[in-house]
Amino acid sequence: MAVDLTIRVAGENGEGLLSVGVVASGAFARMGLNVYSFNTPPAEIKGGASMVQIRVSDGPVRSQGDAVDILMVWNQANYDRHIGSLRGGGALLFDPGECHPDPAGNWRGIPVPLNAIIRDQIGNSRPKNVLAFAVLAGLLGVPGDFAEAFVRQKFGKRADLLPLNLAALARGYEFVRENGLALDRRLPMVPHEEGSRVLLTGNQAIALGAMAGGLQFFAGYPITPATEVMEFLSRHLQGTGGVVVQAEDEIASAAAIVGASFAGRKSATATSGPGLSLMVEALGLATMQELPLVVVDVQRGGPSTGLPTRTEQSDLDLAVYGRHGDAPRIVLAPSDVEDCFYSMAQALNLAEKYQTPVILLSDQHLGQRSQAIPRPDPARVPPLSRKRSEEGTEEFRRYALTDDGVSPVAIPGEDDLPFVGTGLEHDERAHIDYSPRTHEVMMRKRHNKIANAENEPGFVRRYGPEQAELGLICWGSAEGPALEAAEQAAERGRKVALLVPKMLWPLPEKAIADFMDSVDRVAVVEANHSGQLANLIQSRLYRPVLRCNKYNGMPFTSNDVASFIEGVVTHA
Amino acid sequence: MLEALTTRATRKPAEYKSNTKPTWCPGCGDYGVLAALYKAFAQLDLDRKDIVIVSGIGCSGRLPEFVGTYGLHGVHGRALPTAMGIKMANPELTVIAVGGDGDGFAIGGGHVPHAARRNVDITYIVMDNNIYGLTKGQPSPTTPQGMGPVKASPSLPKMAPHGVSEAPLNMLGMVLSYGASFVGRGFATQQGQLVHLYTEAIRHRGFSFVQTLSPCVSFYDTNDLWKERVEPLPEEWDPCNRGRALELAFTEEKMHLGLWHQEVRPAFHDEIGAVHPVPEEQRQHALDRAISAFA
Repeated sequence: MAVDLTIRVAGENGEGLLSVGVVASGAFARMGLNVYSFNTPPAEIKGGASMVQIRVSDGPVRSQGDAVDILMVWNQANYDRHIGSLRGGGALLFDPGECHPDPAGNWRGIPVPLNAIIRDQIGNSRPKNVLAFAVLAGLLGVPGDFAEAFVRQKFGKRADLLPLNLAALARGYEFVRENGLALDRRLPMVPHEEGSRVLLTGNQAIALGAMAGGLQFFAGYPITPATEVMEFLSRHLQGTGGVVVQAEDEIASAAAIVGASFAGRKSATATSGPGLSLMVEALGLATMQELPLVVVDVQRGGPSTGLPTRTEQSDLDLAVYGRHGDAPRIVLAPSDVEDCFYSMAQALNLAEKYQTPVILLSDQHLGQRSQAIPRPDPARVPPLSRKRSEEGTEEFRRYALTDDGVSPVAIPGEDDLPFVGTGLEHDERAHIDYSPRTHEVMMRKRHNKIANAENEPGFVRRYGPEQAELGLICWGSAEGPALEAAEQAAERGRKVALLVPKMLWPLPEKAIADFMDSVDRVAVVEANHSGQLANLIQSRLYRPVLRCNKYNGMPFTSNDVASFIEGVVTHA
Repeated sequence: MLEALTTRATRKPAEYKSNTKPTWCPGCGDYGVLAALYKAFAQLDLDRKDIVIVSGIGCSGRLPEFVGTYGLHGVHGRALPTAMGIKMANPELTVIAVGGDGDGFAIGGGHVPHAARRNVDITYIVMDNNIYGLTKGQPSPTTPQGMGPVKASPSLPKMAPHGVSEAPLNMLGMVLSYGASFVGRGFATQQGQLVHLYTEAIRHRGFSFVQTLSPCVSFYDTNDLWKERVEPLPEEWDPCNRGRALELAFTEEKMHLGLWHQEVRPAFHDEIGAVHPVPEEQRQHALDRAISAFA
């Protein structure tokens, strides 16, 4: 690995700061490098401090990076806020007209008069994002002709803005050249087959995964940080034969996908915690009527309105237990951007196979960060469809008792087997039946079929040595930093293993028990206060676990987990 | 038009009955709604497998169980978005939402304007009895203000011992102002007109709303009261004049029965499309293109 750089740009969102990240990430990914970028947008649309952080490497990148190698600040307030994150000896790029760094700082200060260049040489503040990118690219040795080709393609659709953007790009490179500036680390071009890699956010990967899984109907309601899923599908789902409805609220969204699923279509919605709270009643109906559907929850900080633009893994309790009555469902948690694609397709497939609601737990950090990943392959997750009934002479038994608990369905308009699906307890023929025997039998049917899903292959990832002094268990977006921390511990001679269950209900109890048997101590790493997975594991396996929790709205860094590991293994 | 349909029809109302006997109280207005629906289906010669009846919770929510078509008896107040999901999933289906005044205008009241403004191509039949029947006699959003412990409603004192203090909603006025493209009012005991209204509502392409006066004989028996108050819309009534209909809705002393309003405008699935399964090759091609945009 020749290069592994963490770059942070901090400024005001109203000045196009976030798009610096978009442009730079896209260019670096196109160079064949691995990219992991995330940002902390302010809650407001215009204005407010924000930052983007891009980690770029020719080796694997699994987290956003720890100490910042290159910090670019646009003004004094952002300098004050972020200077503490800069690695000793790192590069500080600052606008000398806006910001006065401590002359005694342990860094290499490089004045970059962004606003003066904009004012005196371009005359329009709009391409400040491209100018900032150009300075970074020039300093890092990105070939100018490559950068120009990228900007031409990226902004080609806005022909009216292209001359401005190209002028900004040229001025940025000239500034670097005229001042003889360069950083000691340069970004290499990595040969790769064109089109073999894509740069996606988790939300985009989920939307594409939904299309791969054969999604036909989507209803949703705007909510940060999940909205991009609906926006993406509203542009693309029509091409695969589907339709997207923006509903009047989350209750209507959930009711609509219940209806579309009853009509035989693969259906999903995407929301965040407050929306999932409102969907709980409809999810119970889907469990009772045995309807396949998928609810994506891109978690954010809670409770209540909480931290809409920050991350947290605190909806696990709601996903697993949020219900009245005993209403089991499948809960999945993808752990990186690539996994978002495959997990969403699998979620649709499991919903069809087990005729059940499936909740897919993503989070803000996973949903809104960008990662360069191998091009997703839809052939790995071909769509499955629910088991259909064959017309017989006897009365149709929609909820026929079968060995695996899954009963063949009839679809309106296609099968001449009309029945009435109801949220009331019912017998095999879907007739309302409150008898003690029926309630017992149907309760077992609904539970057993979900319990069988524990045996689905491929929903547990294990890393590290077969025997270890410490075993970490984590879920969702905590995987990347936990894995990097475990690898760092291994370099220091510590034996640390990692288990990542991607199905959280039914809990893969056997895999977790086997893992616990193979390690001296176990800790659950998760971004919430109460230790929701830890509680779930303890309640199911009756075995105590240590806990590593972070709940300040920011994602884990590998240093966070590394410090925890160090504390545990040294005080063992 | 109706005559033409009638002569073509080969199905009989009884063919739409299910094997489940209605559980409503003897004399309930909902029997009239059910009978009129059977007749409308027969007149329209609809195939049982192509109909889905969606309901929420309440006495009226049980209606789908008594019809031999597909049915979805869901949660309280959400029949309209559920019906929308079905229609957008397969626009070939005839989708009918049914429910009471509580299901539709209390807990579910937030969905009515959106179904109406989108012009979702479904028929919404509200069985309005001015009371909560299934839970035994609490005031509903359409219970008249001031209604107290009267002979017609022996149980109302439980919730409103000093009389109902809240003003009732004007159901027709609301739906007209929401932009519904078909608005009618019928009375469960006047079958001929009710069948006609249901038939036209189902035939209407867009959101059709039929308020159906359906007295509750157990908790607020309005049979006699409504028999005195109903009268047909004036003979010269123009159903294309929404403003006039709104005026009548807010000024009528009597309860006017008939087709209040109808207009032609594109249905929701005409505007945004519906699920339209495409050949697998085309699906994969579209997916591939969407992925390539990120390369």
